[in-house]
Amino acid sequence: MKKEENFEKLVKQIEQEMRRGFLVLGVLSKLDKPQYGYSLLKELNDAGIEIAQETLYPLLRRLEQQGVVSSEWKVENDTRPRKYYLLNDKGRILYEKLKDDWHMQIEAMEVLLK
Amino acid sequence: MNLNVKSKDLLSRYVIDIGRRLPGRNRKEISREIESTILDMLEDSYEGPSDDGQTQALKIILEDMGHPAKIARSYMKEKYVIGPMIYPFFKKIWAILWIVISVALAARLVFILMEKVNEQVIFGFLGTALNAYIISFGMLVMIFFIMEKLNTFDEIHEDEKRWLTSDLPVVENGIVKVGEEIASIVALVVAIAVFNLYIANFTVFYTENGSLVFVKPEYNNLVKFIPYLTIIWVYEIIFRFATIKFGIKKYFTFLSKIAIGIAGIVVAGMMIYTHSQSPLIAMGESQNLYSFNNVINIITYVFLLALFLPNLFSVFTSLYNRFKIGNLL
Repeated sequence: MKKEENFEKLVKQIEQEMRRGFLVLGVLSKLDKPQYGYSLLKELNDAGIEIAQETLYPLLRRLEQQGVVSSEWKVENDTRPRKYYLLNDKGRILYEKLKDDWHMQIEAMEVLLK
Repeated sequence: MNLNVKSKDLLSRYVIDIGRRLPGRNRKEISREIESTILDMLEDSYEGPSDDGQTQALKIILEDMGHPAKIARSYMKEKYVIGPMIYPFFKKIWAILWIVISVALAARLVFILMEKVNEQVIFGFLGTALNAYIISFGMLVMIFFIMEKLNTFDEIHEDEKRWLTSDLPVVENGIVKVGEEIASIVALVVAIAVFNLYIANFTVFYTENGSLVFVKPEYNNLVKFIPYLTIIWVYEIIFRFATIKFGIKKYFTFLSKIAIGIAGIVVAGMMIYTHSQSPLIAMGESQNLYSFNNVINIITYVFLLALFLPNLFSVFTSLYNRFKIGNLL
């Protein structure tokens, strides 16, 4: 019983590690236009990338601190302010690099997993 | 979206409970964004009127999001010394420790001021005070750090999973009770007038062989403290007027209450000490005068305690409320 639990834990941990990398890429891919947290969350979920809000918001915060995403509080369409995120120049370069790398990895992995 | 009163209260309690678990520098920004997101989620899931249905929908969202500590932890990652689950507990313990140290230091200060005061004594006291705060804070952080690393709070983490919105702490509503403020101002004005204009002529009487005997207690030792009390009371009047005019302000209100409370504790403490060193003596030759003096002295003690204890209570409740809500650290 204990061994099974440990194995499940290990699987979960490795899955999380795998997801962590491509979550960043997924988020960056959607920030070519200004997005507030919840709209981004919905877009990602609609695209089949499950991400919890307690994962997304700290991730956006981290990307902002790393200087690849800019943010601004804005009031749009209604009277409530929302924090909008957008890729900046550094972020766009990073996104292109990560995207190329992703395609290369996919090709390599396809060969390996055949 | 218009929130009803219950929904507003619930949302602010949730956001504040997350905020009090976060380090101060990012608290405001993160809290604001979380609040904005919750409103987005509510707008998305509920389109009805601002009634109990709205509050119910909000409850479902919050309980689905989970314990405030879980949300706070996601922002802190692993970079904390004391985790968000036990951070409010740590702050409470520190608040209690802070009060105990402050009261002990205030008592020490009273005794120092009663003795011969020179630069060496004052600097010695300041050094002791600084040491007391730094060492006790350091020790407390170390204890909590060790407990955090040893997962002593595992059972608290288990509680996190059973969390409901009804577990959220109640937040002070910040409404100024104008009637209470005005009553306090009137009482303070009366106190200033009585103490400054009439205390020197204060006369008491007792009966001797069926007739009244008037005596004037010797209050000289205590009268010298009246200017200090007056300064405190004048500041309190200004503070209460400002509260009526501008409402409860986060730092001004808190710091004013603490300043008035501590000043009151120090002055009343000095008065109690002075009174204990030189009790009042109503001069006269009557046989009844000995017991009469005792009664007068006890009444004076009661009066001085009535000055001292409300200040102590005020400092304690201000600190407790502040640390409970967690807006200071």
